[in-house]
Formats: sequence, C-alpha cells, structure tokens
Amino acid sequence: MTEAAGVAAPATGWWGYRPVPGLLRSRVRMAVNAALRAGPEQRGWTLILGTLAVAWWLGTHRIATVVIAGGVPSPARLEPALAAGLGTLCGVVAVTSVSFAISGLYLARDVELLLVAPVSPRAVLLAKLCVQLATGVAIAALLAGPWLVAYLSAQGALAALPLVAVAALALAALPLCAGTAVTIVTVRFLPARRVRDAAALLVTGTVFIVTAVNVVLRTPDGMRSTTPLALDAPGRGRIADLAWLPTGWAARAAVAAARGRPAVACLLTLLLVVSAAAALLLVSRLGEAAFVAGHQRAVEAGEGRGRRRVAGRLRHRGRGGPRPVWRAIALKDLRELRRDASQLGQLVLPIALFALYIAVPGQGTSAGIATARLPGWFAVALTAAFASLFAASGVALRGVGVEGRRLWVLRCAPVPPGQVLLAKFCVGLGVAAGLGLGLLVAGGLRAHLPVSDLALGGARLLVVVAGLVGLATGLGAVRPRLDWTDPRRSVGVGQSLGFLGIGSLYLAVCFTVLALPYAHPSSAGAAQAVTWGDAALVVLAAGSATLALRAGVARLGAIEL
Amino acid sequence: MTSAPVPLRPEPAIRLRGLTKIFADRVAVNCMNLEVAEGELFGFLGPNGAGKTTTIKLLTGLLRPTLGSAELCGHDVVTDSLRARAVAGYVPDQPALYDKLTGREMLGLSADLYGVPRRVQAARIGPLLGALGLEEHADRLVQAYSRGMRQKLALGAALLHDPRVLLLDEPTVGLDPAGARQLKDVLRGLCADGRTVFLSTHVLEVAELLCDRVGVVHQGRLVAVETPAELRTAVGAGSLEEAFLRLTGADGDSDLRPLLRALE
Repeated sequence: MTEAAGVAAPATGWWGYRPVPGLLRSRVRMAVNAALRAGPEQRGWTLILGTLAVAWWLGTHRIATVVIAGGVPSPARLEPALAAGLGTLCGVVAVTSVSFAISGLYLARDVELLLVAPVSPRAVLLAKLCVQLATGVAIAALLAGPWLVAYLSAQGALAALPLVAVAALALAALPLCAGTAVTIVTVRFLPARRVRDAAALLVTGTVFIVTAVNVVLRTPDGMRSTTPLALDAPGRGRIADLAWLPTGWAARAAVAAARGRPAVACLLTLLLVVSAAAALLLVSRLGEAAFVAGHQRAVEAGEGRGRRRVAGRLRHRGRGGPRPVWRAIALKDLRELRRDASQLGQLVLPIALFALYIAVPGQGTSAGIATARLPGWFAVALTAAFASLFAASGVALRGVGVEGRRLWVLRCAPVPPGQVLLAKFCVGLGVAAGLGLGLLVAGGLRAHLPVSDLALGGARLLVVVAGLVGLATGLGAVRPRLDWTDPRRSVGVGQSLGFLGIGSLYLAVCFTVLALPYAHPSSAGAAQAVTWGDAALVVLAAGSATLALRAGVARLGAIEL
Repeated sequence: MTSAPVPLRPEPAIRLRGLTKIFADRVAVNCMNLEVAEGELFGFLGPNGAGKTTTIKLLTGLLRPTLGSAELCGHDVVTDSLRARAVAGYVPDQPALYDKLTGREMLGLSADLYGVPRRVQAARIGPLLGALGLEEHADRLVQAYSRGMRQKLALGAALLHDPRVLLLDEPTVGLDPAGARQLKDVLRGLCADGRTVFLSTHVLEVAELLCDRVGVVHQGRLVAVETPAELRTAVGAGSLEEAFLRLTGADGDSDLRPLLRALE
C-alpha cells in the first residue's frame, strides 16, 4: 500500500502534539463566529450577555471591596481560608471534569472527524483539556475574579494579579487532569452514557451527603459545632493548606504575592505551572490508547450494543379516541426525564438541599423572616417557592430546548405551538408545584401548622409557582438551544442564570405582595387587605406567565430548522 | 345535443408557485414552479447544495418561504399550515428521534401528534413494526437503533397517520439492500393507492426505476421536469445519469481537471 501523496504520516512522540495550536485556533475561531458572525440576532445576544457579565463583575467587585474594607484577616487566618477556597475550586473542577470529559471526548460530534484524520489522539486529548481548562477559568474569573481583584487592591498588590491568576489556572489543571483520567479509564470499560449517568448520581449523592453532614452537625441555634469537622470549611481549610498539597502552594503564592514577597510567589507559581504541564502531558500521552478504545466502545454502544429493553406500556387497550396532543407530548417528556439519570440527578439535587434546609432544626420553618406579624406558613412557602424556582429552571426552562434536533417531529406534525408549550407548562408545573407543595407540607407538619394554614399557604404557593413555570416555559421557548449533545446543556449557562435572576425577582415581588397586607393591615380590616393581596398575586402570576408564554408561542412558531 | 361535461381538473397534491427561499447571503430556492398530481411518484434530483432539502423543508413548514407559496392538497403551508401538515408525512435524511423512547412509544407519540385515535393506533402500530422488520426491537430504546433502523422507524412514524402526501429526503440512505427494496415496494404500493410521494435522491437508479416524473434542480432553479424517458430523449442522453450530469453542468472532463490540478 502506498501513502497518500503529499500527506505527512501521523507524527509520533512529542511531534504528535504539533496539531494542538491549530486545533485551539480553530476552536477560538468557532467561538468568535458563534458570538459575532452568526447574524445580527446572535450579535445582539452577545452584546446583551456581555453587558450583563460586565455589570455582574463590576457589581460583585463593588460588594467585595466593601466587605474586604471591613477587615482583612491576618496571614495566619488568610492562608487556610484561601486554601479552603482553592480546595473547593479543585473539588468543583474535578467533579465537573467528568461531565466535561464525557461530552467533549465521547459525545461531541467533532471527535469522530478528528480521530479519522491523521492527527495523533494525544493532540486531540490535550486540545480538549485546554479548552475545558479555559472554559472553567472563564467561569471562575466571572465568579471569583471580582473578589480576588478587590483583595489585591486592598493590599496594594494589584500588580501581582497575573501571577495569582497563573497560579490558580495551573492549580485548576490538576483536578481537571485527575477527573479526565478517571473518566477515560472508566469509559474504557463502561459505555460513556452510563458513566455520565453514574457520575451525575454520584455528584448528587456526594453534594447531598456533604451538605447533610455539615447541616445536621450544627448546633440547634444554627451555629457551627465547636468540634472541627472534616467536611466543614475551617477543617477543610486546614487540610487544604498543608504545605505538600498544591492548594497549599497556590494559597501561599497568593498571600506572598499580595504581601510583597515576589520571589516566594514566583517559585511556588512555577512549581504549580510545571506540575500542571506535567499532568496535562502525562494524561494526554498515557490516556490516548484508552481514549481511542473508549471512543470506539461509545460508537459501538450507539449502534446497538448494550441494548436496553423497556417494558412497553403502550399496549393499546383497543379503545378510545385520539389522545390530546399536549398530553402525548407531556407523557413523552416525563418518560425521557425518568429514563435519563443525569437529568434527574441535576433536577433532584437543589430540591433535596432545600428539603434538608427545611428539615433541620433552627432553619426554614421558624428562623429568619417569620415574624410575629406574618403567618406561620409564610417562611415555609418562601423556601418551597425557591425550591420550585430550581425545579422550574431544570424542567420548564429547558422544555423546548430539550427537544434539540428532534424538534422537527413536533414542527412537522399538525400541532399548534401553543399546544407544545401547554405540554411543557404542564410538565413543569407538575414537577415544580409537586415538589414545592411537598416541601410546604413537610415543613408545615414539622412546624405544627394548622391544616387550614397549610391549605391557604398551599393555594398561594400554587399560584406563585404557576406564574413562575409560565415564565420559565415562555423564556425557554424564546431562545432554545437546539444543537446540544448532552441534554443537560439544552439551556445555556447565561440563560439559566438569567432565569434564576428574573425568577428570584418575581418571587420577591410575589411574597412582598403577600406580606404587605399582614405587615400593614388597612383600616378596612385585615381580611379585606388579604383578599386584595391575593387578587394582586393572581394578576401578577397570570400576567407574567401570559406575557412570557405569548412570546414563547410566537417564537416557537417562527423557528426555522 | 348536449356536450359531455368537462372533467374537473383534480387539485394537484403539491403545488409550488414562485417558491423562493433566500438565506442571508444566498438564494437557496429560486422562483420554483411545480405541480405534482395525486398518486404520482415524483423524484427530485440535484447535486449537493442545489436546494432539494430546502425545498422539502419549505413544504413541511420547517422553513418559511421568502417569496411565493407552496400548497399540499390545496392547503397553503404558511397560511393553512396545520391542515397542510396533517395531510403530509415527512422523513428527513438523518432523522433525529427521541433516544429515550422505545420504538413502539415513538410510533405512539407520532400517532398522537397526528390525532390518530387510539383504537386505530392499536390496529396499525404492531403490523407496521412487523412490516418494517422492527418488531423484535419495538420495546428497545431508540438510542440502541442503528441508522437504518432509525430510518425505518421514521418512515413508520410518517406512514402511521396514512398521509396523502409523503415527503422523503434521501430515503434510501442508511438502508440495506433488502430495506431499500422494501421501501421501493412500499412507495409503489402507496402511489397505486392514490397517495403522492415526493422524494429527493442522489441514487439515479432509484429515480429511473421508481419515479413517474423527475425534476432536476440546479442552483436553486428547477431546470427540467419530465418523465425519465422524456428527459433522456430531450437532452439526447443515453441514460438518466448522463442527462442529469448535462443538465447540472457536471458532465465531461472539464470539471475534473481543476480537481486533478489541485491534487498535483
């Protein structure tokens, strides 16, 4: 056999990494094209999201400046605190790297193209790791960047920012490599989709258990136990600050940079950078064979291996007219949700945390905003409403987006867009209201609330949640993301955070409307004031939902596929 | 003497009038006029990027025409879109289906979307799965289906509501020879039964054997609409392939020379 004329044989050894800059360049080009060159509408969205990100950054920086001006801790306390923060960052990166690795290395559509090209798999692996690292660092810069800048400004050491940023970047590479390596090895033996589901459940369980242990071991007055806990922040800080752990190096480098000891900071940062580079090269070199084998396995699984037989419930009873379309779509959505463990885990986690919050003594039901003037159900309903906000974000907001490239099935059928959104609304309402009411009842029973109070609170919560779900369904339809490979990413991070912001504002207004008649009863009588409050709540909920749903229907009818 | 009544011209199953679709920087479909009669099997031929898939998407309502109109059985696909969609069945070239549903559930969903009564579904789904060779896999999740099986399932979903017009985009892609043969038989049977089939294909053999008429589309324009035999005669070609290549300007060595030069 002869080689193709003019085509170089795939490079081996270190030369195998030569395509990496080219792969990264094309990635950057794709991101720029997606943000700026995909038409005027996309440019508009890029501008809006960019403005929001800048506003968020500046606002958080302002808050951070005020908080830090209140008192900078001594180095003895600062280092463990920083190490704890960096330890948390490492944990988050390690856990999310599993999901990133599954999506980027096995489910992404470009992998097949790259692997059939004469490009060394190690180059593909390293390029993917770099992209994941850059994405993670961009998110960290948005969330933690303002605090870091404010702290360094307070210390008069803003010039040390690049050094600290490099240290944090290098530190994040280590858990990323660890998580990716574990994923590659696991996918060598198990199908990628199953690993994704298992990882999602593992994350859900871990976060729930860590939170539960920390919350349950608090004293009844809500303060932390005096006994140091392995999972509690101060204890974790002590462990993370150990001199032989990379988190300890990064914390010491940051403190040294801020306190004007550049030599120490540079040395520790260099140590981190060398470790990160070594980890990236090690994982990409040693992992390439397992990566290729795992990808082949993933392709085989997609083409028929690992089949799963599902008991067919659609055994027709042989009678009955047509099923209402919205019910058929809702049933389909529920089936998909039930059979996708990763989506289910993502949905359940925040709800479980809220349940924990309500169940623990000194939390939710009696503490905080429940005052003598407000009724007993108020605080529990507020907590339950925020749990419903996350459920609405997990189900209703992604209702249309989760259709993805399958949207043609609904668009080609004689189904009005309103019916589609009605189905999405019903599923969202069923999940969000069901969970919210469940939490309300659990919290109410725990606080020994009378049944009449619970019923009243439940009815009001239902109205609030209906408005919230309408808002989520409509907003999700206005800008669905249809090109995903992982259904959990059927809504962009920006849209998700945007909805959580709008939803929080909506809940704040709703509960203010509910609280006002109790806080300032009118001269005409408390009962009349409460009635007016309820009427205003219904108008608010119905108005918000109708506006969002109408926008969603208009957009859904105009989407071109 | 009374004159014989003039027979009413039957409503065409598909009618395109000046159908045009312009994307941001290019004209994908350029003022297309076409009528396809009921019971006709119409083949839509053209090179890659000629506008075949765009035309079919315009007919299904997945895209909106920039100018002109399209009708299915007399229903405008824009102004009367629900009725137009109700009479049509569509199979895309790469059907994305619901991976977490079983094959049987997928067909049930499709039937529900088209308003097929449940008693009719019960009578149709089982035999249809059997006819498509999917009975054994009916209760497995679609994510485990091969490409050919997905294609067959999509065809089943499109046939379940007994559409008057079937729109198929490259239907033989991904099918094994037995599946392709089965598809041809199904399409012939549908047309014999008065249904209309509009299919785009690259496989000229399929078009020649199967289609009553073919339309050749090139750079968004419909450049010829004839029966395969008439097309060959009109262009003076020995085969449909030759006629197609001449009509789309891809015949002869001239097109290969730049390619060969580039490879040198």
